[in-house]
Amino acid sequence: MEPKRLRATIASAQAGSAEGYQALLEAYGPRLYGYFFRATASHHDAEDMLSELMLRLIRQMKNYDDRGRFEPWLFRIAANMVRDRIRRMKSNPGAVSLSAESDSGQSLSDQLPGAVKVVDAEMLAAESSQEIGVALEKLDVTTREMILLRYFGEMSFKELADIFQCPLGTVLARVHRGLRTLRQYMGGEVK
Amino acid sequence: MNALNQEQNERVAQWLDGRQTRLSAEESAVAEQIRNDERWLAGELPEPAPARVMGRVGRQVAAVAAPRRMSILRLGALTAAAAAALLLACVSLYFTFQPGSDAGLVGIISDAAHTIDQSQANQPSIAAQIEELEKATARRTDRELDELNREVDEYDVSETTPLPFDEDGAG
Repeated sequence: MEPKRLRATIASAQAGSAEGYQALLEAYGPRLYGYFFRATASHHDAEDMLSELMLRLIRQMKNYDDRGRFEPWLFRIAANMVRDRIRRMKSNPGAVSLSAESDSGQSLSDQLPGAVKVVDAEMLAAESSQEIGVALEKLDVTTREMILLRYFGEMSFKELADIFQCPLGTVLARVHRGLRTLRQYMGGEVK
Repeated sequence: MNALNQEQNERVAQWLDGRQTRLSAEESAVAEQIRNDERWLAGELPEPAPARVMGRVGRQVAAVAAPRRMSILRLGALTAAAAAALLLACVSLYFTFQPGSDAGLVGIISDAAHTIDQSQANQPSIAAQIEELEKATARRTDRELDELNREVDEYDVSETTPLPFDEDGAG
């Protein structure tokens, strides 16, 4: 979204216009969804988190001070949500989500007797990219988050250093090592 | 970790962030490697958001954002109404609790009871006043009728102004 239009959309949303929020969803929804999906490896959780993020946006939009840095602000909220989710999962590891996918790629609700199997071309296409999801799982949580925020949130190393509260050099070293690991795992060219 | 030290990594990060920084050959090699890896990852990571998911989230946003605006207006109206009611109550209390009068709830109740008693006591006199008014109205009507009869009796046709057709006998 070009800066002028983004400013107008933000102002519209801050004034409480549903159309303003719809425009923000159209502009950033797909990338946010991609970020949540890669961070959680679950379509269901990605949708839930995108919904929750939009609701948080409606609540917090009045606090946003527009200085042309909307995207990092938005992805900072998204990153906090992912971290909260990881924290919750760590504190309650026994909980099993009906939507959590097993190794076969099926959720528990899919495996229940009488469950309706919906053949969804979009879902099948998404499952074909599971390999990178598995490779991301090989990384530690922080490195994975840094790489995902850099790609989906288009964040600079400086912004990542601020979010993760660690030195700039450390962020770069982690991202570099993470990228190398992914390429090795995926069998890509590694020099 | 890579082969660079912390300071070198910082310089590479600044350079990749678009800042003007001079890099050594070793640092340039790392920067180039990171660029290549990120380019490669950009071809692997994208996950298209299903249209139905975006539709569902969009409907939720529309449902939450629109009523929120209305509820703010409603809240404003309610606050204004509550403030007006409070002001009215304060004014009433100010005039109710004059210095020297019986203050408190007991005083208010006794005042109200007294007013009701007096109103009941005044009822007969009100009835009498109505009766008197009716009588006066009847007397006045009788007088007016008598006056009208007298005028009819004294009416003399010859004194009336002749009509135009009476003069020339034309019809």
